[in-house]
Amino acid sequence: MRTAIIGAGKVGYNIAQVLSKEGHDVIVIEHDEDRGKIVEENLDVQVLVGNGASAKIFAQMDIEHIDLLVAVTEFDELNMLSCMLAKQHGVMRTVARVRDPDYADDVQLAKNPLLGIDLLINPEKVAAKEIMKLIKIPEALNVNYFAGGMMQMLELMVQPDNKMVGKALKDIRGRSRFLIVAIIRREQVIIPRGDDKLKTGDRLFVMAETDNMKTIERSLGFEREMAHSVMILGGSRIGFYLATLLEGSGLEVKIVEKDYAHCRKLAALLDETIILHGDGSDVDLLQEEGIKDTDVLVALTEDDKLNLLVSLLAKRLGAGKTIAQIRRSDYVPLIETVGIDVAVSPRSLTAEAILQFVRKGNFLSIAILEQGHAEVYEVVITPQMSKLVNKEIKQINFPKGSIIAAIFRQGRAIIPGGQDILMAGDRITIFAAAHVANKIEGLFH
Amino acid sequence: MQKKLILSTLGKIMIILGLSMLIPLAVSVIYRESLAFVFLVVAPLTGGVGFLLYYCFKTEDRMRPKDGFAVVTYGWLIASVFGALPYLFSGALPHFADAFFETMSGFTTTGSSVIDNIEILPKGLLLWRSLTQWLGGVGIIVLFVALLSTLGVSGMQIFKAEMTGPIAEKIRPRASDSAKNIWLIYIALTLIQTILLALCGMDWFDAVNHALATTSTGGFSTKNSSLGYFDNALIEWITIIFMLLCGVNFSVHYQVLKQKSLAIFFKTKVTRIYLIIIAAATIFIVVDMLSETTNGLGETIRCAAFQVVSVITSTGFITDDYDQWPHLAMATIIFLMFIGGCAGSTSGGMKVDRWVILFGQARHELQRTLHPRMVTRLKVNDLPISDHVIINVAIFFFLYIFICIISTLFIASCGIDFFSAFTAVAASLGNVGPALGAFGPTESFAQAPVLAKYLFAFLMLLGRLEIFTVLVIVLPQFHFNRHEHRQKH
Repeated sequence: MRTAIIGAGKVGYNIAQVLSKEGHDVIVIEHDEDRGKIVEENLDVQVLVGNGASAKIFAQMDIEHIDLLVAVTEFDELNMLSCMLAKQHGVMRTVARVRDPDYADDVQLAKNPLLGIDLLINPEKVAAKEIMKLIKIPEALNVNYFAGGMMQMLELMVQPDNKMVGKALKDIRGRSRFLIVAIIRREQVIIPRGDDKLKTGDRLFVMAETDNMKTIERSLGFEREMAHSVMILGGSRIGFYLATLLEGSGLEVKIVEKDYAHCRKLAALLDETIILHGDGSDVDLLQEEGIKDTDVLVALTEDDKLNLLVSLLAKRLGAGKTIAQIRRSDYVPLIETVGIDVAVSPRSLTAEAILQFVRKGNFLSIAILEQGHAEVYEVVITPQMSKLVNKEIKQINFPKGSIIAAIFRQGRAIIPGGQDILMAGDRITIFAAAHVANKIEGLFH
Repeated sequence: MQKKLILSTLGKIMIILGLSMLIPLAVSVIYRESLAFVFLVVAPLTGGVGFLLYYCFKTEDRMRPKDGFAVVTYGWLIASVFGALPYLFSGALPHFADAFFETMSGFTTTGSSVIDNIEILPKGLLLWRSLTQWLGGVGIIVLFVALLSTLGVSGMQIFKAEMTGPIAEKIRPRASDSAKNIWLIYIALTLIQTILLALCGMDWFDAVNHALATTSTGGFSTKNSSLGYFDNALIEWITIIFMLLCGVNFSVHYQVLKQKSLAIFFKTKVTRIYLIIIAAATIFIVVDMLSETTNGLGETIRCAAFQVVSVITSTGFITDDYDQWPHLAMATIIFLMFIGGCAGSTSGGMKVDRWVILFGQARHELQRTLHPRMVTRLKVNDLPISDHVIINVAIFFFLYIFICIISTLFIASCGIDFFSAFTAVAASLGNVGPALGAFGPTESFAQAPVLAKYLFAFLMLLGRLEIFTVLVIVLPQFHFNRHEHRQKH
C-alpha cells in the first residue's frame, strides 16, 4: 500500500513509523526542511518538502498511484483541502485531522462527498472520549472495549490493601468467566499461568463480559466506586469536549480556567458544568472547591509540567483519581510511576485511531497498550488457517508472551479456556507483548 | 432630540390613523348610522393635522435611538387623543377623561372599559373600539415601519421601542421586512379566527370584532357579558386557542411556518414554559373549583382554561366571573396577571421571557454563593443573554413592582379599597383589563375618579411600552440638546 502522509508532526511521524515498519511504502510531505531531514534520517520513508496541497507536490509523489492519504498538518483547512484534491485524483482512502470544533462537530461536513474525507479525526474529541471511559470506571487505569462493547478489558493496579495479594490465580474464583490476560510487573509484560501469584504493584489486564465486570472486579479484590464529582483544569478543547460528554451523566463537573473571557465563552456553551475562573495551581482555589472530595481530577492545561504538578498536588490534597494530559509521550512512563494514575496524550491517541482505520484486513491491531509494549489484535479465523481451525486452544503452539483473550462466535462473546475449540468464522482477540507480534502473524498463514 | 424629525414622523403616524378611521366610517355608512358624520369629520381632521405636521417639518435627518423613544411614546399619546374624538363627538362618552381612557385601553390592548352598556353603542363605534385594539396589538408604529420601508436603519430603533419583551429580534435582515412578516402573520390569524367564529354561529359583525380583540389580546367585546353572552363551548375553545397563539412570540410563529414544524413550539424554551404555566394554573383552578361547583368536569376545565389563558395573555375576555371564585383560584388569577405572555407577542404583563431570565439568574446567583469564582452565562433558547440584558430585566422587574405599589397607594387614596385598587393597577399595568373587586369582570371603570382614570391610562401606556420607553422621556437629559445648547451661549 502506498501511503502519503502530509505533515510530519508527532502524529504524522508515528503513523509513518508504524506503516513503514509493516512494509508499506510511505511518502512524508513536510513543509519544514529541518523536520523533514529528521524524518528522513530516522525512518525508511521518502520525504518531500513543500505544501501538501500543491500541484507540484502531488506530481512529485505521483498522486495517481497513492492508495491512502493522511493529512495531519497543524492546519485544518490545509488537511481538508489535501483530502479533497487527493480524492479527485483517485486516491481510495483519505484521513484528515480537523481540530476546529466548527468543522469537526459538523456531522454533515464529514459526510459531504465533495470534501472526500473518509475519516475526519478530531484529536481532542478522541482524547475526551478516552478520558470519559476512565472516569466511568475510576479504579481502572485503562479501559478497552471489544466486540461492539460486549467485552471489556480493564487495567487494574493491585494496591497493598487488596486482600487477594499473595493468592495464586487458579485460586481466584469469579461468579462468571474472566481472564487475566497479562500482568505488568516491573515494566515487564507477563502472560500469567494458574500458579502465578498476585503482588502489590502489579497491573492486571482483566478481560470479561462488560456486564459481569463489576462482580469480577469484586472477586479480584477491587471495589468499583462510582465517581460523583469531576474537576477539569484548563478549559481547552479537550476539557470542553469532556465536559460536554459528562453533562447529563449526573456527575458534578467543574472546569477551572485561567482566562476570564474564555470562561465566559465556556459558560455560554455548557449548561450544567460549573465554570470557575482561577489558576489550577492555586491551592486555595482547589481547597475552596473541595478537592478533597473530588473523585477525579483531570489536568488538561496546555503545559505538561503544570499538569504534572497540579495532579501531584491534587493527589496530596486528597483527590481520588488523577488523569493528566501529557503531550510529550516520552514523559508518559515516568509519570505513572510518580503517582499520577493515568497520562493521556491526544497525539498518540490520534495516531492509534488513524492506524486502526488504516489497517484493515484479517489481522489487525485494535489497541496499543503500555506505550507500545503490548498490543491487542483481532483475527478472523478462516478455514485455510490449518494451525488453528478445529483445535483446542491448549494444543495450539502460541508464542510465549501472547494469549487468546476472547472469542466472538455468532454474536456471542466467549472468555476462552484451554479446552475451547477454535472454529472457522470466529473472530478472536489476541493480547501480545510487542516483541512477539511477528511470530504471531506466522500462525495465520 | 430632533424636534422637526419627530413632529414630521408623528404627522405620518396620524395620516395612517386618519386612514384607518375610514373603516368604521364605511361600517357606519353600511349600517346607515348617523355616526358616519362623526367619522366624516374626525378622519379628515386627524389625517389633515398629520399631513400639516408632516409637510411643515419635512426633513432629511436620520433617526437616532433617542428619537425612536420619543416617536413611540408621543405617537401613542397622540393616537389616543385623536382616537378618543369619535367617542367624544358621538356623545357616547361626553367626558374627555372617559374617552381618553377607553381609547388608551384600546390601543394598549388592555380592554378595561368605562362604558356600562356596550350593546347600545352604534356599530361603527364598536368597530372603532375593536380596531384600536387590533392596531395597538402588534404596535401602531410597527405598522408604520412595515408600511414605510424608507425608514431604513432607524426603523429598528422604533421596532425595539415598541416590541414587547427584553430582546427585540429581527426575523428578517430588514426591520421593515420583519415588521411586514409580523403583520402578515397577525392578519392571517385574525382572518382565520373571524371565519371560524362565523362558522360557529356568530354573526359576521361580532365575529370580526371578537377576532380583532382576540388576536390583539385586547379583550373588548361587543356584548356586556363579554364572550359569556354566546354561551357556546366551540366559540370558547376557538377563542382559547387564538388567545394562546397570540401570546406566543410572533417570530416563533414565523419559524413554525418557515420550517413547517409544530414541534418548534415545544422546542422553544420560553414557549414551553408558557404552556406549562398555563397547564399548571388550569389544573390548580380546576382542583380548587371542583369542590364548590355543580358543573361537570369538562365545563369546569373549559371555564378555568378560558380564564387562565385570557388573563395570562392579558386579553381579558370573560366567560365566568372570577371575582366569585374560591381563594386559591382567585390568587392564581392575580399571579397570572404579573406573568403575561411571551416576548414578541401581542400580550402584556412582564412576559414569560423575563421570568425565565430572572429565575435562571437567581439560580446562578445561588450557585455563586457556593462557588465564589464561578463564571456564569445565562442562556435562553440556547442563546447567551448579555449581562446588560439581565440587569435591564432585573431593573424592569423592580420598576414594575415599584410602580404597582406606588400606584396602588395613589388609587387607594382616591377612596378605593385596597384589594380593588391593587388588582386594578396590576390589571392596567399588565394590560389585562378586568380586575377584581370593584373593578371586577362584571363591573366597569366608569365609577372611578377622574384622576384615577388618567393614572390607569398612564399605567396602560407604561405597561404596553414596557416602562423604559415611556420613562426615558421623563429624564431631563432626554430633552437636552447639545446643538441648541451651543446656540444659546
